[in-house]
Amino acid sequence: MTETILATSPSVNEKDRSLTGEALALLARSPMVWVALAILAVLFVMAFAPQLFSSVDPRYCDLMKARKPPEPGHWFGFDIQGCDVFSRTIHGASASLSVSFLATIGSTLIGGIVGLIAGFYGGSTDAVLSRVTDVVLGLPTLLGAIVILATLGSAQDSGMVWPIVRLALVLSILGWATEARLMRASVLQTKQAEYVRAARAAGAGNGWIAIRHVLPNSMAPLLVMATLSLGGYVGTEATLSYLGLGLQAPVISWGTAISDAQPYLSSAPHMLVFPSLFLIVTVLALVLLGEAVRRAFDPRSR
Amino acid sequence: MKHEHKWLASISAAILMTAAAGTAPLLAQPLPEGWISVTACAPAAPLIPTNTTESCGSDVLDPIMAGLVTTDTATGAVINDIAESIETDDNTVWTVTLKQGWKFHDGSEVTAASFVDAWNWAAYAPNGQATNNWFSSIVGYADLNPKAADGGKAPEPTAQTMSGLEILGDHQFRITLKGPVPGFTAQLTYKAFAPLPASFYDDPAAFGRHPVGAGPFSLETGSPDTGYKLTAFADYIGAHKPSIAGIDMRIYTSGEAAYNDLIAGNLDLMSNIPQSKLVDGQWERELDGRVVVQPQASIRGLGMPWGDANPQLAKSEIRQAISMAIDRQTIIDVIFSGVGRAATGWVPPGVDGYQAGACGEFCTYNPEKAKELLAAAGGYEGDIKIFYAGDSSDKPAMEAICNSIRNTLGIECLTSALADNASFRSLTRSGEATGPFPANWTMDYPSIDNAIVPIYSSKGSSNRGSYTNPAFDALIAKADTQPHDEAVRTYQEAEALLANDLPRIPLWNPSTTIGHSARIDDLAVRSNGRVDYASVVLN
Amino acid sequence: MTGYIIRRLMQFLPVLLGTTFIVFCLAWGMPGDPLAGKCGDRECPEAYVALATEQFHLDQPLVVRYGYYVADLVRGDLGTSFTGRQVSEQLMAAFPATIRLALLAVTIEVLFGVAIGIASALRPGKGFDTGNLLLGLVIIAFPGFVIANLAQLIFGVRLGWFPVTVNDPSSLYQLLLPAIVLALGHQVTLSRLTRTAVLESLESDYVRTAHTKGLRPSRIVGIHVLRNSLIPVVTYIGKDIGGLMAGAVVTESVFNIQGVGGLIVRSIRSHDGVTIVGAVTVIVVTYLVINLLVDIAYAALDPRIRYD
Repeated sequence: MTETILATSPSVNEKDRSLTGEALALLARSPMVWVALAILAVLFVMAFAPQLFSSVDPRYCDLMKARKPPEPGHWFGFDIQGCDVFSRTIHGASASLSVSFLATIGSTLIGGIVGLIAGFYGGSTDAVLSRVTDVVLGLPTLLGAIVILATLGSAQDSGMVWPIVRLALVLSILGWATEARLMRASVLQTKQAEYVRAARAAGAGNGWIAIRHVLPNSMAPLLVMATLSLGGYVGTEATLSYLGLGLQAPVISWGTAISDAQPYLSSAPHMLVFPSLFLIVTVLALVLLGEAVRRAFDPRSR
Repeated sequence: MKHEHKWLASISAAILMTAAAGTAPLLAQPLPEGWISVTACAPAAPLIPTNTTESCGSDVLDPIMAGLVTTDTATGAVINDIAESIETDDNTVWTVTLKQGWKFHDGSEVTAASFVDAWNWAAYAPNGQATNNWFSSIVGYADLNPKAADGGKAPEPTAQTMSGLEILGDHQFRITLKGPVPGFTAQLTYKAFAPLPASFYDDPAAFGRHPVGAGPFSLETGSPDTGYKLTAFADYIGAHKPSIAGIDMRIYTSGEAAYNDLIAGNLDLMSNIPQSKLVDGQWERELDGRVVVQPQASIRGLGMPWGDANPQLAKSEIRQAISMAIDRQTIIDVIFSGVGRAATGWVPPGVDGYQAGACGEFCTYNPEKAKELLAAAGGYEGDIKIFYAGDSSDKPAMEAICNSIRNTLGIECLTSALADNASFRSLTRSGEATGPFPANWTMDYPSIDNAIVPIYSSKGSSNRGSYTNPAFDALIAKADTQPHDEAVRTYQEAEALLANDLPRIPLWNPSTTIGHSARIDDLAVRSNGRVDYASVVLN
Repeated sequence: MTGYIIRRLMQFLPVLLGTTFIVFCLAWGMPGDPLAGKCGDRECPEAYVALATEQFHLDQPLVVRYGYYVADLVRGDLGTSFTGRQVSEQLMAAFPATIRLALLAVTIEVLFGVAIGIASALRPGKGFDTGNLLLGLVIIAFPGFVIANLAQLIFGVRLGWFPVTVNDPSSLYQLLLPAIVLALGHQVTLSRLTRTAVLESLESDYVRTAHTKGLRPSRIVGIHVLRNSLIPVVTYIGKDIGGLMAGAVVTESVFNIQGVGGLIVRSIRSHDGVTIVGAVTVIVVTYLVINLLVDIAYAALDPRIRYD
């Protein structure tokens, strides 16, 4: 009896290895996956060793060159301070990708866990967690960011790593609520599925069911949100940097570049277009990859 | 299919709700004949002239209020407005005679009491007015503002009126100052000295929503959300009689939005064009040359930490080196598209007592000399951090200054934004700032003492860097006892002393940029950067 | 269900009390002296500081100040802001424009987002799907202010199809372009969520069963697929309405809409704690109501979902 019920359940322990293998094989056959991986590989090399791509000092700025369009040796032109846009875009990858990856991971983790627990256990657990979620949804990011950043350190200290982690932390703390709502909704639906009831009937423990059966089948909306929010967080970083709450010199980032260039959209569009292009390509690679992974691992799509 | 219909039904319900959410007209109402539309921003405090210190509120109050004196738009000279005469023999006791026939917008007459009562009310400590200390030079101010015992609350004042203000008749009063103030008539141009009608004291809060003055325009309707409609006041007999019929002040939260309305022809007049639109003459092209650039009586400087916060920056040579490492002209040309002038001293041009080049070579870009001075001072360890308020528009200029310092002196320079003006002010005022910060000064009245005394004298009300220089203080005290012309020369000597210490590094004197629609034929700008609506001529 | 709704409504009061306390602490816990910089380039005179300190109880501990706040609140008084205006008056002035804009934007976003999502899911990987993905990415990657500015410049200033900015009181026509701009960004997430959910449903057993039973494809999509796909979509729409009620700061600023977003940002910048607490509390109430409606919608969409 148990055996037959479990056989209808999508993720079965004994078959895991073969399922994973099958999924990976599926992924390896898709050319889109390779394109996406190649883009991400280049971006990661860029983030860790920007000097491989550009020998120009991103922090050397000559005001006489300000806003000048692209020219040989400076293929992306110059920004408002007369710094080389290409070099700054290359060097900005590290901070921007770190912030948005960390913030996405942070908010997806917090939101995923809260949503899973709230949706799965329901009742008073759901009531407490969901009302906290409502309150966090209502808090203005600006207010939360000002207070949390001030709590985590003063404006007078700076560095290369801590500001990035700190910003990602703030964005995670303030950004998980949407993910939690999506996850909870998905869990509410999934936990009614027959295989979950069957597992329950078969005497499986709550934790086991939540993690082995409900979680994998409720992930799709969360993954969609996560791939898109990677791009969104670069934008949020830009807005916060603009308000003096985000990344500041000596850290270079796409977000800051985009927000500084924005007013000059009509007179010097190159300052905005190049960092934005990098951002688009990054998000594109992630969305393609996310979509492929989702399909490959989604048991229902076989 | 049934469910799709439900879905559609709920969507149409949403549309209906949207439509019902207001009975707003489909299109904006056109302006009445002879009116102009101008940009404004939401006032941050009730519109009481003695409590309005920020520019948004001042922009609204300026055309509504009139004072004893005003400035001549063309020459910048102080001229009588409501006052028939203001006489003194010793710069201490001033006798003011008012012109007959001035009326408030509510029809009541402007009398000596309109001034004396208003000033007493503003100086009375429990009323907590933001311009309270403007009246501190009048005899009897201390009675209205008793000092608090250490750490405690200030006691209740013993008097409600200042003994230095005496009404001599319906149209005459006498002001007795604690000591001689040579530039007192210039101070009187400040809006805090405007007369208030008797109705003010019945309900100051109501007045704050609907101010009544004796100025060229009266407030018809208005709120910080909907903007303000001002109509020309028929009984106005002062120096700024307008030819336009009214002003529609529209609230804009962003300069870009206002600018787009201006070039689309939806707006007649805009001050402070966004920096990004000045690039390569973009605004002159888009406005077909309908632009005005008017030097402002204000100065942008770089405040320097004074004292222990950063001992290296306390050295005069290092301050001088930094000042000489800043390429002011290039920054103006590139960041501000050439609008504004490099500052050569601490007093803005056009102000009574201005002398060109007061700062001398120390405010002139000179990389070689800067490096020499730095070397002579023994170099600089670590980095320089320039602090600014994240909600200001200072970022591009501060970054450019930093780059100029880095490129010239080889010192690592970083800009650091604080979350908002309040945290920026708190940091710079506490004396804990370890680096320079933007320090601006807009003249309250066009006289040299206003440019230096409040900021650099030991007891100055706005001495944010806690700068102390006994020689400077001595000269200020000396000037107080001198007649006007001699006093100006003494103030100029005091200004020259600042060049050695550079408590603030002068950067530039900004200009007001104004764009207008084709409906407006001519206009003039006052030294405070505001359009003189009396000068606006329509086509 | 009725019991569940009553229980949910009973949660409102403690949640609101908690919210006001948290926001109160955050608002007054911002670094920096709230009175600094209130007097232009000058420092504020002592008399001014003394009066403001007394009025807002700035010298009292935070808990005591919160007590004063709640005491006023019980009497229906949301307090007076630093600008000398009643908070209730400020909220009444800001919310109408924001509500109109939000409803308009959500309507557009739902119409297009769901339709595009379904169309993409029905032919995944084909031209429409791919084109929509790329376009969506461009929209996502360009920050909101760029899109808003471009739309204003092209359709407002150059072509003159729409009013450049919004007056107060705002009209529907004036709000249309800002609403489209707002909907554009949200539509991307919504259409991708719809697409994923529809794809999942299409691949599920019951749809295959329905196919094998010979049901018309349009009927399968219309009833089985859509209904089962709507849960994440409804969740996101709920979150979006709440988010839009909180004001779209950038869009409001570009189109000069005097709405809630601008009010909150201005209040935060000027450390106007009373206004912040009032506005944020209203927004949290909106979320509470909307999420209650969304939870009720879950049960309607999927009868298997029960809360009792």
